Amino acid sequence: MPTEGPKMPKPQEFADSVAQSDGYELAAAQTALAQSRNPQVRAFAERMVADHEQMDQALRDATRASGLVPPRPQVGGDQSSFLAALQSLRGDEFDREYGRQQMLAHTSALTVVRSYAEKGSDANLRSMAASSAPIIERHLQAARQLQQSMT
Amino acid sequence: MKDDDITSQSRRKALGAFGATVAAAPALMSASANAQPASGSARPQGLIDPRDKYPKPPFASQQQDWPGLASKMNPRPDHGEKSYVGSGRLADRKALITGGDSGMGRAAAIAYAREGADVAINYLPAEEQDAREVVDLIRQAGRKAVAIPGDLRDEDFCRRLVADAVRELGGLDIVVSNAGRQQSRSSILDLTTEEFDATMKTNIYAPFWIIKAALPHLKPGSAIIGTTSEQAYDPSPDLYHYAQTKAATMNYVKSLAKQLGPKGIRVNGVAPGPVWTPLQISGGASEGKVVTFGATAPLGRPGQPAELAGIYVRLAEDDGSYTTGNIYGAGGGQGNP
Repeated sequence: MPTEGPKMPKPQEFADSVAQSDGYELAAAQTALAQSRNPQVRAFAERMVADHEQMDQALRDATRASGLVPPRPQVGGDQSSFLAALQSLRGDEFDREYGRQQMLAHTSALTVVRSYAEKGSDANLRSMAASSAPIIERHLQAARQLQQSMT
Repeated sequence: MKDDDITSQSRRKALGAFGATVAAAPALMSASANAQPASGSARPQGLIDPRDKYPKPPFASQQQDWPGLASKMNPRPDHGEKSYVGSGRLADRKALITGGDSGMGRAAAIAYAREGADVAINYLPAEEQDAREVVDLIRQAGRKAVAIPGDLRDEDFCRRLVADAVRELGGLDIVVSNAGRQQSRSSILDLTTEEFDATMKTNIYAPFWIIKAALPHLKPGSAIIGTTSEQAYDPSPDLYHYAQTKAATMNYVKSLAKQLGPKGIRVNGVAPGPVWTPLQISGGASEGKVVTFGATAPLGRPGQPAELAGIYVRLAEDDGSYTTGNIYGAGGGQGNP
């Protein structure tokens, strides 16, 4: 049956999922800047705010160019439980959980954008995904280093 | 993972074998080193940290066509093949389990056989490879195994399934309505009537048809078990269709318990949280969710089917005789049921 099995996200679905990922990164980084005193965590969070604001702009440009609705960077489904867990922690526990979440969230985001860059149906979003992938990859490496610095 | 020589396998060996295939879970090895087996028993001694007991995300990106095979998942799910030890809790019982080839149904099938029950499993023809392994495991436990492939969306097949199971097992006193269909759709606008209907047929109609056909054969003391989900209580946005079938399951369990309690038949449900099964990697979860599957659970990892086996046993066995109309969970800390 053609409806069965894994599906490649449609352009708007993909755009919405990237916006959710940006939304979570921005909210988590702002939480970190408010709650963490660890200089490495704060530096990482500042980088996330700067980079994800830019990535969100690139996403909005690509969606407009393709005649889609530019999605807002909102925290969605699974990310909201991540954020709730983060907001309830303090001190070292917060820093460790932030590092763990960043490693996982960027692993997930990298899987999604790489897959769309390769197989997605919308050319503007494909190109946006292709230029985001190396940035997310660097974030993932930085998140792993952050995690290691706290163990 | 080889499934031979099960009962003599120790928990320590089981974890080591599992861990050897999972490079991403170094903590697993230390957990297994701490779990020293008692001689002649597969039961671990000492405390095992539930966070480190099984693989954690990130997982390798992987997608299979529906319905997917457990044998092709990385890491392979643990259904208790090497760890479940029975003690006669279901001696000479006769069970039918739908979706018994993989996931929670497979964990229940293995546990039931090792607890002394004869077991019939249903599965889709595409799942034959997984089902063969389960049949072998049931036989290795010294019990009768009956394999009945077929699509539960067909009412005639559901009736035939029950009739065949009753005939082959020489009766029936445990019905586990476990098979489920789950396909992630991020928008209701992308959900076709065909997909909605297939989900309703598999998850709601099939239990209705099967239980209706089975009831005339169920004597007082029999048990009916439905697999519901944390989704019944806290639905994900992309599982609009699936989650409502799990809410329906939670609800039919409570209704039928009232209807059948006076006849001496118990009806209960099992509500898993995120569990590592083929359902997830064959369209049930998005690609991005698969690689971080279970990450948001307070235990930081998905559950393994083996971690629910004891619940299916508990709800079927005579020791649980006052439990009916209830939902037992294994939610990883996410709060439901």
